[in-house]
Amino acid sequence: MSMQEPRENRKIIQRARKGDEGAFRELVRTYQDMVYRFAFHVCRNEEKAAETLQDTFVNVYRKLGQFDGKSKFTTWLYRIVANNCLMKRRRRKMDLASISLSTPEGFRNDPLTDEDGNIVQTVPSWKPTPLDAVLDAELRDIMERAIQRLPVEYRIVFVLRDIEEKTAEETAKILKLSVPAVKSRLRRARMFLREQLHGYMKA
Amino acid sequence: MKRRVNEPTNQRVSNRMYQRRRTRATQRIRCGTIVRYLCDHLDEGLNSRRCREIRRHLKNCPNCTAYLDSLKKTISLYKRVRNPHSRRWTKPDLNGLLLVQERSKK
Repeated sequence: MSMQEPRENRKIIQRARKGDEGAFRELVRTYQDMVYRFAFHVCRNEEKAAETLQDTFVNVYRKLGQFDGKSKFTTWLYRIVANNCLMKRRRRKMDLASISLSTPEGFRNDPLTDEDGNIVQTVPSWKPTPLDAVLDAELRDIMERAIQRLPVEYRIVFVLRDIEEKTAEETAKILKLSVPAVKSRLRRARMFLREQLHGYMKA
Repeated sequence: MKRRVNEPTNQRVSNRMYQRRRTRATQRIRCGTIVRYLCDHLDEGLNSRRCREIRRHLKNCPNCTAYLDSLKKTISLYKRVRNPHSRRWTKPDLNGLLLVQERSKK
């Protein structure tokens, strides 16, 4: 089993692999928040997240014997959640290429300068983000729609990197992708979401 | 006396030269590269030569700074719009789950 795994976890995982129900319950208790949070951020729907949580632990129970311990347990777990989320996505034509990324508003590769040689700002600044309490319905709505439009493959990478704060290497390991593929998906996801919010957020 | 009269002009010239040099340094990496790079390595605080150049560029380029700020705000909004921790959620029905497993074994 991976030496990166805390010793206590290794013991619980080994006991659960041998069919110890108590150890399995312990695993669920330890990781359910993480699984739910990740599933929610990808599905953006409480019902689907709860369903993914159940399905994930059913898979863990069934496949724990196949966990070889070469990677961290959480890497393996994230992979199961991601696969469950991918299976739940709405069946539609693959839309990986449908994210069109136009040049950001006001963006120039050869920036304008004033007579003193200072660069003139042409990219509009964004308003300060409102506090939680006053996040208005319109902004919530725009964000939700933007997320729904972002294909799940991209959303998963975005959530792992920016919400769960995994490194590009860890994300690549979880999703069995190459690091450049992770970076490319992340770049497109960030640019796409930013573009969707820009109209509302620009000062 | 003469010197004093010339000073402001010299000062202006050197300011211009300084600004031009600064602009050139800023433009050494083009904004397109910066945007691409920011999207790849946002907040990673790497210390490579390229990262130092990017930090230098950001100091003098209001456009890339505005872009970086908007990317950070995008992520912060994603986290905050409907945070799952702010709601009560159903814990997995562990007994049901184990029961299903038992049944499927039989």
